[in-house]
Amino acid sequence: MSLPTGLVSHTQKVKSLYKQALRCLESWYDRREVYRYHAVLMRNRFDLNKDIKDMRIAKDLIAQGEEELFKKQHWLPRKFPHSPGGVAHGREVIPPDWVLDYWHPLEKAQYPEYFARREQRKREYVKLWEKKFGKSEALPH
Amino acid sequence: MGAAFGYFPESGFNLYFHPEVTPGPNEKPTFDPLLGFENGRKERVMIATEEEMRSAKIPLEHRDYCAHHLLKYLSCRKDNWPWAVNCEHEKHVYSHCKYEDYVIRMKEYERERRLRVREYNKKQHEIAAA
Amino acid sequence: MHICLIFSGLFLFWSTVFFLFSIYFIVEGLTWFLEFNLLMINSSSIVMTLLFDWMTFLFMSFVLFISSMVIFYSREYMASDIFINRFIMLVVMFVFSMMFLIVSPNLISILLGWDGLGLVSYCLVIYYQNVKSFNAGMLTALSNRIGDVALLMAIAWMVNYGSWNYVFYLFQLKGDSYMNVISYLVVLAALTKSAQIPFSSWLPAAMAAPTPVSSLVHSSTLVTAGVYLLIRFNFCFNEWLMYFLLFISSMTMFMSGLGASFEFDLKKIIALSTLSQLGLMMMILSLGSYELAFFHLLTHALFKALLFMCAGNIIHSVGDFQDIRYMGGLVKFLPLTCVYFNISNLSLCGLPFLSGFYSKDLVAEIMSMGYLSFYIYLIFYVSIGLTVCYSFRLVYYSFVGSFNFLSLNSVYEGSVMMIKGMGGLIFLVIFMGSSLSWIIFPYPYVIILPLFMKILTLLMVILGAWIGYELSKFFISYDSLSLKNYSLSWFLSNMWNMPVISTLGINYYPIIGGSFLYKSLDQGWSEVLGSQGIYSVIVSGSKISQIFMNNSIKIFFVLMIVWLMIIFMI
Repeated sequence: MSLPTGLVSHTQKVKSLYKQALRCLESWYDRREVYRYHAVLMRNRFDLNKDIKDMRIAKDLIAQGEEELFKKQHWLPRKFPHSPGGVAHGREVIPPDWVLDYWHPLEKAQYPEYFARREQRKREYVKLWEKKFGKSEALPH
Repeated sequence: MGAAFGYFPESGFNLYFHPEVTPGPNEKPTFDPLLGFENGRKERVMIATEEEMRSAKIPLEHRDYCAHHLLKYLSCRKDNWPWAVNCEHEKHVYSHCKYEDYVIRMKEYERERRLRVREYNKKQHEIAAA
Repeated sequence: MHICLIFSGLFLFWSTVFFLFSIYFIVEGLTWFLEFNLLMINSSSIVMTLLFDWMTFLFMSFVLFISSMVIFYSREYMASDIFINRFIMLVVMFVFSMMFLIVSPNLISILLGWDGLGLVSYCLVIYYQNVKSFNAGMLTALSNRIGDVALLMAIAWMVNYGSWNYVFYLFQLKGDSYMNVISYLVVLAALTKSAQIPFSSWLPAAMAAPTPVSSLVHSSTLVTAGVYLLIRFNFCFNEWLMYFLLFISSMTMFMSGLGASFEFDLKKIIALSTLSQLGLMMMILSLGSYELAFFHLLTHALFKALLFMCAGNIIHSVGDFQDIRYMGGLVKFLPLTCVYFNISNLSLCGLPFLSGFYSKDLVAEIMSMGYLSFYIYLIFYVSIGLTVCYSFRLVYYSFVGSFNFLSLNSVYEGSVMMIKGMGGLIFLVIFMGSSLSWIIFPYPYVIILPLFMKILTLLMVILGAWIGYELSKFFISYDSLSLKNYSLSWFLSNMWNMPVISTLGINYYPIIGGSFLYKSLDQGWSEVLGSQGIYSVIVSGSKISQIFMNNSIKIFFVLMIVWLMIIFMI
């Protein structure tokens, strides 16, 4: 389907650079109105070079832009807490479902109906998979 | 500048730049105590006795010439406990006595320093004359 | 009854009991030793001793009071956690370890309390199970472990004296060589626990713990355990150790004050503030006045715990945002929190007649009365100014100014429990300083200073406030100073790059060094001098000897002639 191959088009690079530049400005300029002023200036910098048709110059500009972004990144970037890299990311860890299969039989015997339903569900899931993707044979090790 | 800025320019710089005329902070007086005093000096007396201080178990560093005020303060504290705030007057009297003691020590230091300056100047005159 | 209320009430009761005991013990000058015979086998007995001094009772009452407020507060803060019982049990275990540390007159029970503190604080730091917390927990536990090793070595050295009750040996054996070694090891242990200079990277990292934990552990109890140990041991320090401690603590105070002025995470700023005050406490100890260090410890515990609780209230209200750049103008939405925050900040700065003033100003005056070099004065007063600088900066960012948060928000102060928990502390923050200064000091400190030295503290406070305002103000046409001095800001904010010693320096750089060594030595010179080299030498040697094995008559005749020549020449 859409596999991440790591090949990004020029447009995507420009958009990504712009967003990262804005986030960098957000870490440096704290108050919202000051940030808004500098964000408009940054947009103007991008808009001045918007109509360049020569791809060599455009690639060079993007490389320079990424270099400048790296040099001016903030040492404590302003991240949202629940997003990766933030303070509250991943605080509540939900154990994955397959952990239940490793319970001791005596523990499983405390919830007989649930585990019976679970086995039934597992069989139905295997049938669903084989209907959609066909039977798979075991690969030799 | 003197008292406004503090001891630092006077004694600190003098200790470094003019060590021969400045007594160090922990040095004892080297001149005769009665030099310059025609009518003699009054000797300081301890008012609190040895047994009183020993029975109150005062640490050794606090057994100085103000110990009688300290004893009064401690007994007032014990009487008014836990409202030790009522002993404000005794604490003030003790602090004032310590202040007087500090001034006496400061004056001793200044006397020592001036006697040393006087000797130094005398020596310079002798060297200049010879 | 909810578990929080049970423990909170229990700790509050015992806290008042212990406080009454302590003020009785101070005036009577009593010290109790309680001995329990654990085992008695044929006249050799194992005895457990507990020391009850006015200092232990006072410290215990403060610790129990703060922990009762924190447990009451965490009922609301951790309300979304289904495992709150586990959390409260961990906090209670922590408090019991701290109690055990406080009442012990011998090194073995101190070790039990000390290790208990380290272990339980590790469990509390990793309470939220994300990668940041796990890393922070490792850093905490391993830094504390160095101190545990030092304490174990001190126990080993103490065997020289026959028993581990240090309280009996400290005065008499002051200059003894064994006591010197023991004091060095104990100081090392206290340096790690109280996060002084080489080991200071764990304290800001441990802010990954929940805020009630930070409020109890990282502000008043765990980090003061090191200071308490040094207060107990301070009679046996020799002069050079005190110089060393003075240097380390003044450097810590300075470095963390600078770091907090460039930091943007709310809890990390307060953590660095704690670090700065710990440096101050160690500095007072190294000047010899242990009672003053204890006084500052107690007042600091109060207002720092309150500061952390207010920070927790802010964080809880804005939905887990800890970055102060996201907060502005919160005074309109969280007015009572702002009041408590400001009062404890002012107490921290040393505003006259709040509780921080009594300890901090007395420290400044005692220091000015002594004969210290100019460097110490400079560092100390600059650090006092820096304290005010980051406090004002924090208040300016979070409370003053226009609202800076997201557009869709719901910031309100709806938590009665948290406010009540903080309210218990605010009364003490205001009044405990003056009350303690009358109670604790039986022999009053007499301060005689010229006018300038006396008002220098207040001058530095005002100067620091102005610098704090300058560092944080922001207008549209204002160029960011930190952006212009990029490398300096990076250096100062990362605590002078010292965390590298504890993190990259023991993980990453040794591995790179190891790979370099592997390529150049293991796969290079060892092969030349060792396996492959010897192999090639043997191969070439055997090639030569194979020529002789070719059974060639010519070679045999040549060899015969050489041998005859050798025999006839000699």
